[in-house]
Amino acid sequence: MKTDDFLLTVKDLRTHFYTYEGVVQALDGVSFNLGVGEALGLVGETGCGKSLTASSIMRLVEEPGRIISGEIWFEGQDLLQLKESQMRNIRGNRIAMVFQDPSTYLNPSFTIGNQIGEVIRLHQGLRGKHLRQRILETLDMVRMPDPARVVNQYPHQLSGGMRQRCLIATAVACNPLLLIADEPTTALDVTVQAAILELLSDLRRETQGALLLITHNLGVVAEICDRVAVMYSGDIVEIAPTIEIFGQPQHPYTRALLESVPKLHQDPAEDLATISGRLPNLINPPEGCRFHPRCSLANDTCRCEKPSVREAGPGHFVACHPVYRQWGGPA
Amino acid sequence: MAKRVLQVIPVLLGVTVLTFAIAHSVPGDPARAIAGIYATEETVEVIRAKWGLDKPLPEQYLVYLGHLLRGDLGASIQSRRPVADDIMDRLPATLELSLFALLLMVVVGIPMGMIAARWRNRLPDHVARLFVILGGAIPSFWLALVAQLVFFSWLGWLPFGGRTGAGIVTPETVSGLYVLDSILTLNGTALVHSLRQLLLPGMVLALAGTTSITRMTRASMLEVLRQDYIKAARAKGVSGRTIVLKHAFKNAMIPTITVLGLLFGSMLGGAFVVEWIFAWPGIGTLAANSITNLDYTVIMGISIVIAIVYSIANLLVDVSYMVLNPKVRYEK
Amino acid sequence: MSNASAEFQSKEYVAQRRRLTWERRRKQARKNWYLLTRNPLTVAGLVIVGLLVLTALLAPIIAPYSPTAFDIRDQLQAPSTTHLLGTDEMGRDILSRILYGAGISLRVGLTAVIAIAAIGIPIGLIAGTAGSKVDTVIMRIADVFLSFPQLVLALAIATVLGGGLQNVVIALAVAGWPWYARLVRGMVLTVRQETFIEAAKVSGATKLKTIMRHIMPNTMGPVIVQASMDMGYTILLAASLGFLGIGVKVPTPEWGLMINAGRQYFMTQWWVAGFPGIAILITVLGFNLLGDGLRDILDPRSRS
Repeated sequence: MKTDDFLLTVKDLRTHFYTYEGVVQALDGVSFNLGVGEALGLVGETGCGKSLTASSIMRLVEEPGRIISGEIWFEGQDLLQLKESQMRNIRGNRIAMVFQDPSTYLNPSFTIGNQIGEVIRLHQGLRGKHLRQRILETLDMVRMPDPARVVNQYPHQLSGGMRQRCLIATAVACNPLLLIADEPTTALDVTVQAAILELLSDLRRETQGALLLITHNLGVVAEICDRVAVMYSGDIVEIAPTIEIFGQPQHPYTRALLESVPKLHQDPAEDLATISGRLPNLINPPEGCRFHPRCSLANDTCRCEKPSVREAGPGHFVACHPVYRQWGGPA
Repeated sequence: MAKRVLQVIPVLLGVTVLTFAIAHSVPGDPARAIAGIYATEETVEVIRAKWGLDKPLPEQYLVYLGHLLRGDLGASIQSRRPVADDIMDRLPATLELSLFALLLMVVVGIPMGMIAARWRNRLPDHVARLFVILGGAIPSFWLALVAQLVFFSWLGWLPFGGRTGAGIVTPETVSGLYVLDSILTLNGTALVHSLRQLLLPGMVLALAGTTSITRMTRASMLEVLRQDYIKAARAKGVSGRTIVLKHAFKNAMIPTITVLGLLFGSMLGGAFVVEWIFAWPGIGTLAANSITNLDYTVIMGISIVIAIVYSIANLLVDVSYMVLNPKVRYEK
Repeated sequence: MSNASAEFQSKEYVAQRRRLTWERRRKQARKNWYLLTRNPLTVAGLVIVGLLVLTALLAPIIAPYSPTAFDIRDQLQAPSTTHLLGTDEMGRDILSRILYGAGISLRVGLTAVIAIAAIGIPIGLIAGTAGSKVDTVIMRIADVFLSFPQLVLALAIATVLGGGLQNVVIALAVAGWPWYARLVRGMVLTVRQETFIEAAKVSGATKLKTIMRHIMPNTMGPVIVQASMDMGYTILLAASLGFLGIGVKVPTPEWGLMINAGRQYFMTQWWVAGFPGIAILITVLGFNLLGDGLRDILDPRSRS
């Protein structure tokens, strides 16, 4: 696998949290690729480490968390080896992030124009008239109604959907190659969600940028993403094209996850499907595969050897011993 | 905002009522106090009538209020001079000292708080917190004495006290604030001299407030640095310094400003003691002397003046808070 | 419906609830103690305050001399083996005076804080629960008191009332109650908006019961923190008043007064005013540290 084929290659990323109660092994060897212009969805339950993966890529992990080891290859450089000043050039510029809650991720004391303009000024050096022009262009890109007015307004004067568009505007202002969206629609009303998703979709097409979409909502992923990566407790358990994830899920966790989503045609009197057991304690994770205590397929190998992500079909990768063996791969 | 300004009026009125009430709690007969111990019964009655002390209390209050509104604060029992005059004579000195102390507080306290927050749990933070803990426990009057001992007796760097005197050059009076006047009249020697006199009492007075400001700034800075929009700014590639100075600063300052009014008030109180020790010819010394002499009119007059000044200061603080906080500003 | 409530009122159920509540409280207390002792600064504060209380109680036993016995011939002696902290201008032993002074400062501080709380808390509760007209009036009155810097107001009142510790306490109480009233009122207003208050009302609690059982426990946290921090500040205020000559009279060994007396000799015989000042410093320090520690427990928002 040549790293220059892909825009982003994450290899064996490990991020731990050093807390009073112990070391939380939050990310335990996360690896995946993202191609140029591709949309990859990163899904999983709350707390599985998807947001942390995003923070790690941007190297914005806060105390007491720390990136222990791994490689993150982007544009021919390992991001984890860069100096902070070099990383700052990349943030907001080549890789940008859209956050979850537009009401807390915008600074209440500065105008929208100021906050968007900052990114442009920082990375593209524009000033004065040119700067203002570019800000308005960016607001147009995100289909903001009445940009000239919004530029001078403060975040609390805008609605939730408009604020999210501002966050997106800040992110795309410098035409990044990779846009990381961390639960961009979770804090919004359902109707607004659809509009924002459509916006992200359109932007992707227009700029041909890559998108790493992080969410716990499978429906969102189905709409926009080319491929999907499923995470569980700090590990990637399955990566495959979207159609295959939904049509032919291989990993037991993925299957259980899809099972548990209530279907339209389901009998309302029927109990909802659940996954038995509880999330593992990441200070003392289970030996071997982290999912084995809850897995119906678990065998002895599962209990002592951690499965790595291996190909179990064309372009379909799974981290599961039984599945891999079934596919015919060497044990 | 107009609402806030109008609120001051009933409060000030209440202040006059309170002062009146306190003044009339003096045990004993006020007429006799004015007349003196040796006066005869008749003299006391004459004085009682003359001062209207035989009228019912509410009426006395209205008379009192009338006097106040005309700027008449009564006369000192001790010196017979109008209290208002005494106060006006000494107000510039106290004002200068207080403003100087306020300046020190802000200039020292805010950066210290910010540095402590930026380097949390490292050396600068520990130093700052040690300063806050110790500084907040030191009695200012004791510190004043120690400061005199160290800086005057031992080191000889700074003067013992006082504002004017032999060998001290004072500028022409424009505002009554010597430092300001020295600058305005371009009098270099006077500037140096007045700063020298101001330094020790100013530093002692500023201590309590500085600890408060440092503590508040640190706390609110830490709070702000935890916010999501700071993370968003980092994700934009903004440098650490800009984050602290631009993104965090404005939001962190808001709680600190609200505290400034309070600090000014406690400084006005602390000025009493500090002025007395450093023989600074301000309102504080006047008050301290009046206490010893039991000169109630002066004490009451000073209390009212201070209450009014304090109310206005708090008003200014509240108004500037409204101006600075965009959420409040655009609530209309 | 009535069957269910019968079950909830059976003796066994009530007894079990009570047991569980006690267990929960004990666990919480143990956790609080752990938190309290985890921070060395807080422990230091606890130790200081503890020693202070001991000193105040045991002063008559441990003081080497009487605090008021004087002999002019012994005046202004430097610290030595006979007088560990030296003597003052009347020949009195400073160490003994400081030891007795601890009791005075603690007493004044405690009574003042209790008085302030006794006035301020009920007023605050009333303001928060009695409707907006009453609230506005009370708050305006509080504002009037708050227009004076605390020292100035206490000073004015104490001077007018004449000397004596009792008047000092009254002055401090009058100057300090608005802070508590305001604090409690603010907390009450916040707590009132919580939905569990509505739940209590719906389940038939009277207004007074609501206040006592639901509102008060939730507002007491910050008040206790404030009180412990105020002890230090109140003692400082009382000492300031003593320094200005209000309150106690010579020869009572009040620390502030001692500093006043020693003021003129300070440049040469520094111990007369020096040691009382250190005593005040340590006392206030102790209470402040303790108060900070309490705040960390009772007000989890302030945890760093």
